Amino acid sequence: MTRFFRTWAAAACFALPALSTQADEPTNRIVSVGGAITEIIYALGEQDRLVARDITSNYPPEALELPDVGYIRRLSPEGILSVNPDLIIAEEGSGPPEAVDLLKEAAINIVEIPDGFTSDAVIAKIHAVAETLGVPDKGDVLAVDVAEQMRQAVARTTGIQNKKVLFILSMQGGRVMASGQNTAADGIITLAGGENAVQGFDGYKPLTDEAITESGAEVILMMRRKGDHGLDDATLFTHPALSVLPAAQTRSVVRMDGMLLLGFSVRTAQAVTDLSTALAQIGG
Amino acid sequence: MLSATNITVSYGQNRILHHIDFTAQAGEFTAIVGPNGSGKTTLMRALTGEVPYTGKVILNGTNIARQKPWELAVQRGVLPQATSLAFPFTVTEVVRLGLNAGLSASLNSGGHSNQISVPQALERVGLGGFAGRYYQELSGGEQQRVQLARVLLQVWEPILNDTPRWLFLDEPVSSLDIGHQLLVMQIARDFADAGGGVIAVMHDLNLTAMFANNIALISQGHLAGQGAPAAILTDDMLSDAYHCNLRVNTSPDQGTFLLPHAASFGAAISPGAPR
Amino acid sequence: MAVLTQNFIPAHTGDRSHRAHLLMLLLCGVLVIACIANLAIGASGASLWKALSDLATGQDISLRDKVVLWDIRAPRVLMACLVGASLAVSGAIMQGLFRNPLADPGIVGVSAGAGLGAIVAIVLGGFLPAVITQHLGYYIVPAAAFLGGWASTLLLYRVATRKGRTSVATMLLAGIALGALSGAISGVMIYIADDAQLRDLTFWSMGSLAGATWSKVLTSAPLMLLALFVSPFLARSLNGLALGEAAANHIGIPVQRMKNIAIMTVAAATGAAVAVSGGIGFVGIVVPHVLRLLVGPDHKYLLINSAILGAVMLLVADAISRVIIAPAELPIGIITATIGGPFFLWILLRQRGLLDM
Repeated sequence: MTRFFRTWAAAACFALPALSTQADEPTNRIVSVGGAITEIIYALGEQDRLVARDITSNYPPEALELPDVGYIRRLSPEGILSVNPDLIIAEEGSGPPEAVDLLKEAAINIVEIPDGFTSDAVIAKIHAVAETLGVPDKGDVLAVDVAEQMRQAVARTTGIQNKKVLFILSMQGGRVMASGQNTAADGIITLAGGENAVQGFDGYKPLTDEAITESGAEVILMMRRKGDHGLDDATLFTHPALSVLPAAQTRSVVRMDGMLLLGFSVRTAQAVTDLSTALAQIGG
Repeated sequence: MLSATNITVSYGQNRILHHIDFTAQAGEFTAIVGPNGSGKTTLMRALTGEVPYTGKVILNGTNIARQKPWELAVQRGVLPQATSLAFPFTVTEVVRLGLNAGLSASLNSGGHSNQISVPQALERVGLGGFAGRYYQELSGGEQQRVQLARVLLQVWEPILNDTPRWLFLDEPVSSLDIGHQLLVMQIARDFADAGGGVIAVMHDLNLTAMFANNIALISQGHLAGQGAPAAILTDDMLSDAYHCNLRVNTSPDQGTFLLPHAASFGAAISPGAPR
Repeated sequence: MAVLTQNFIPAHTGDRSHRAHLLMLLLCGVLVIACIANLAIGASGASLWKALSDLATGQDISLRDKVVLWDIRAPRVLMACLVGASLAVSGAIMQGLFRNPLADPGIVGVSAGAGLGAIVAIVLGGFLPAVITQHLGYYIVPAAAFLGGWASTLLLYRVATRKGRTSVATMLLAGIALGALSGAISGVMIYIADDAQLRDLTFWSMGSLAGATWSKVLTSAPLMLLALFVSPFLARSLNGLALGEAAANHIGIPVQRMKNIAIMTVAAATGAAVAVSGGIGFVGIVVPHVLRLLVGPDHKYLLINSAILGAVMLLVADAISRVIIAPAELPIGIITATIGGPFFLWILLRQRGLLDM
């Protein structure tokens, strides 16, 4: 215990000067890379400090007015420098590494926020973002608020029987791209009281037709897209493997906004409620 | 001198040429004749090193197998039966390829740069106004003469540094009209008369009789005979090789000429006739 | 475009070398302008002129401007020049070697092998021992791409070479087989890849010069420069080869040796270019083709003009990729294909007659 304390104290000593400089010169030109982070920044009320966002930051709609620096793994160093930022706050896995190195060389602070698909991960993200922005107090308030919302949303889901949910990321050429474990989709399905119909692999993978029928999914979950004419329910269930699922019998398809559903940010409580409500309604 | 001894060529299991001995002298026009499929062109390709062969080909005293392409290029030019080009070159650009070969080769051998230019070479083969045309636009006969101009440019002087140079012509007149046939044959003849060596695969026995000093007759992959025209162009040898009755005539003012034997005209079109 | 049309007709004497020289001078000028423009243009406000005048008057340049001009734009300009020149020259060499205006460096298996190498590195890079990943850092993907390209070329070459003779036809066919095989392995990799890796793969295949850093330029430049320096020595041989292999040999060209040099040169240059820039298509076909129409197929001029025009083309494409959706960036492969494709079609439409000859 004492050893732990000493280490902690030492770390704090090193950390303090860094914090104090941050306090001296508040970072007022921030690039937010990652939709979840942008939402948190808006929720903290710190949006005036944003100068740019990435392509996934589409909520709240005002965020769309900010310049777009592209995709998180393909950041353009000069593009980012052109908005003259002093801080880049990004989700895990920003890149390419060359670009990150160049930005660091230009004396720009880059902070990566760890990702995760649980309630705790959302709270941790909020704290981390608030800390980075130098507004830990606001972060505490928001975290408590969100934690409470999450608790309530999750509490409401108990009592719903574990429905088997198949999340379909995309269908290309008849190939169904579904979610396995360790994904945002898997996380939100679990939170909402459902059960991921696909077990046994990580990430998003194309499923064989047999694996689809085997899954016995009672509900199909998809992202709502603009102009997604190709994938209405009728088309969806013409797929031979999907057509034999219990979900096809009851025509149980849930479509939700992608960023809301998979963002794991301040709106996740709402996503849980929306999804669990939909699950409860379907098939009674 | 070119001497080839015991030349055998096989494609897989098929033996195309059987133990052929062949010689050609500088200053002479040596023709290789024989029926279709007898192996004339294959012999030519062996002599130029284009196909793998067993035996020996000695050109100007050196085994060609031991020489580098650029060393051989100084000594001989080779005219293929037909040449298609990969890209849209102009006539001038094609002929200049010969000049490049000749020039660098001459420089390598220390001295004599050929003073000849592309337009002169084109003039020589009767293509004076063709310099700016695309090669691919020309007729087969014109293309053939463009290639001849290129080859001529490569070995323009028949004798370089006291060593004779050689022209290898594979059916040089096959796609030409009679006037241009005579023109091309005369160019070859002049080259030989100036001290160079000419080896040509020929189809037309009359033209061969008019221009060649030496004739090799190939039949079914074997050398039926080689020697002066009078020794090779005989009724028996030709009738034997070509499987038809042929009569060789001579006239005092025109030399040797051939006609199919009128009496057995029907037999002339049965290639399978017994010898 | 009237000038272009006029130039399709050969000069009266059939000698297009003067025109080729003139074009070379013109292209050099364009290249210089393009280089300067690419240094001056960019998403950020860093001004080349201001930095130069500050330097001249001994004033300090801001760190950010220094990074933008010196660490971002300068290596990128060099990289665009080297990659563009290498791809275009490699294309011209391959077309000459295969006697086919549609050949590109892909034929010797470089692209397929490099693509496979890159995919394997992206997907399986995480399983490499830490010693390797630490040493190579973000060179893992380029290094794997280069190795993959080189290995597949060597394999094809071995398959196509018998008794000291390389059959270009066999190489072509073996290349198709190898392409199918690496496509299959890529498929397996794509299957086991996660979402982020899939994105990386997609972006890699679209090509980009965004990763250009000084260290990357310095490690890849020697191979690309080597190819650019070797290519002029291949010019006469490639011209001769237009007559066919036998005829080329008869005008004094050591055909087999020249094939060896050409194939290895192309594998090295394309391998390096693909490794640092990903899949940038169309340069290797469009550039030599346009030049052949303008000043003829004589490789003495074609190769050097290809190098310059290739560099110019990539500089222009890169400038567009950097500013068109700034502050984000469009992959350059998309731009070369969207400009190159229609332009190429237009040329084909105009030149149908000439190509069929």
